Amino acid sequence: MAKSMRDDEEELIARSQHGDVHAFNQLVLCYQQTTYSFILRMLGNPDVAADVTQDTFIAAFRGIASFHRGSSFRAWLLRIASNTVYDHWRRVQRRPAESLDQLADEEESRGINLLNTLAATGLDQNPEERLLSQELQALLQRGLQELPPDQRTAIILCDIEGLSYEEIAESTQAALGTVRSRIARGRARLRAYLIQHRELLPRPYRLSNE
Amino acid sequence: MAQEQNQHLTTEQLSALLDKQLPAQEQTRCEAHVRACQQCQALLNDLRHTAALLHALPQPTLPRSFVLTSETLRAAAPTEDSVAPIPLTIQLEERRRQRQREQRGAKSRSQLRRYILPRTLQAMSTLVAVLGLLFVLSAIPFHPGGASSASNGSSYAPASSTSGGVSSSPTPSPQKAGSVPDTTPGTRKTPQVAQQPTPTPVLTGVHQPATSSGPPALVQVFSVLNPTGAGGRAIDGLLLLFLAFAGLLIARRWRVRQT
Repeated sequence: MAKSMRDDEEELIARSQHGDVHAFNQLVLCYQQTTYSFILRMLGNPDVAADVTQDTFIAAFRGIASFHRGSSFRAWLLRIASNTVYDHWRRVQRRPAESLDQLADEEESRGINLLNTLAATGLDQNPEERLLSQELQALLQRGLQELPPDQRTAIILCDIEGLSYEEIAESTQAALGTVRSRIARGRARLRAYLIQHRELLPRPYRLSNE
Repeated sequence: MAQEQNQHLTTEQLSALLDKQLPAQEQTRCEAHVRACQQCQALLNDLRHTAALLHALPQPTLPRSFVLTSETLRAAAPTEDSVAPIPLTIQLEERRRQRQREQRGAKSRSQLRRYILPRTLQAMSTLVAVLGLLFVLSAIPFHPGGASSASNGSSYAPASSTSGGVSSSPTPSPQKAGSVPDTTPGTRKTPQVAQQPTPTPVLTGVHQPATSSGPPALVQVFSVLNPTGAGGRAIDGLLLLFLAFAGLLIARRWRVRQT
């Protein structure tokens, strides 16, 4: 089953490499959730994340000829996604006036927009627990936002998207050792951030108070 | 061995231990240390909980489908060939800039029709409107007593002489303006007008109040438009306002049609 899916994917990639948009769109359907989720966690703004996701798939379609068959398509796609995210940041930095507005917007929408988006994502529990989990989600997102980009990328890929260290190395074009240390430093920093806000953590997740 | 066990593990070792990413030998050694060391155990637990929290984050709902349509591809500008992903993203941005440039170019081409012409017309109409308003306002009689006609005459005489200086004799104007109030029909002037060639009617008309009845139609029109008289100025002002209004209307329609 897994093998046939893998074969299907190879087939779709091969057709996409010959310019078949329909085949590529099958891949988009398979990976848009992962890609959008990764980009949203990186950026924290749903609207910007949507635009960057679209740009990612356009770039991926254009660049699919460079994909080496046999390697992980997911890792390759997420590499383009993180490049597009960095491009976005660079663009925002290059246009200071706009960037200030945008940053203000992002900052402003972070509270409301992100909460709404994250709240819409589910966990059908009783309202109190749901509220708590909304807060917790927002807290985690803010914690991620505090991390340096390379650590953020590594942690999101590892702990949220569930990529293996090898895939992350491929995705971020870094050595395994670098990936390992980025993940470790990212987790440690996020832990410190969560300890600062430990009153918001649910009991089973309470961290040691050091 | 004992010495190694006393040494606390690094965060990196603990984090890798969590993911079973350490070489087999190191993994067993670190596991043994953690079992014996409370401090490292606590840190490992924290890292585990942090990772678990992230892992427990729900998948966000997709705001839309990101399937590529001909429109999204066209909007991102077409490429002739595909290139490696990293240059590509840069390329993509280059495209975006190019797209903006193209849009700007297209704008400048239609800019004349779309922006400049209506704007100019609008600006001119506004100017004309202001002029018209000034005319109308100046026609509103100021009567700070009974001496309106005298003050009128004396104040407008220099004005008419300056305006009249363009074509011909300013000399009669002070006398006439002084003697002729706004409302009196200028019967003495009209014969003069009839005798003189074309530029002069304007001038004589200048001193002509709006109510003259006897003279020919052309002269009458000019005398009606006479800006020295309050009535004439009012009519001139209204005409200018009308013109300005028409201009603004046309300019506005233009822009609406263009957009």
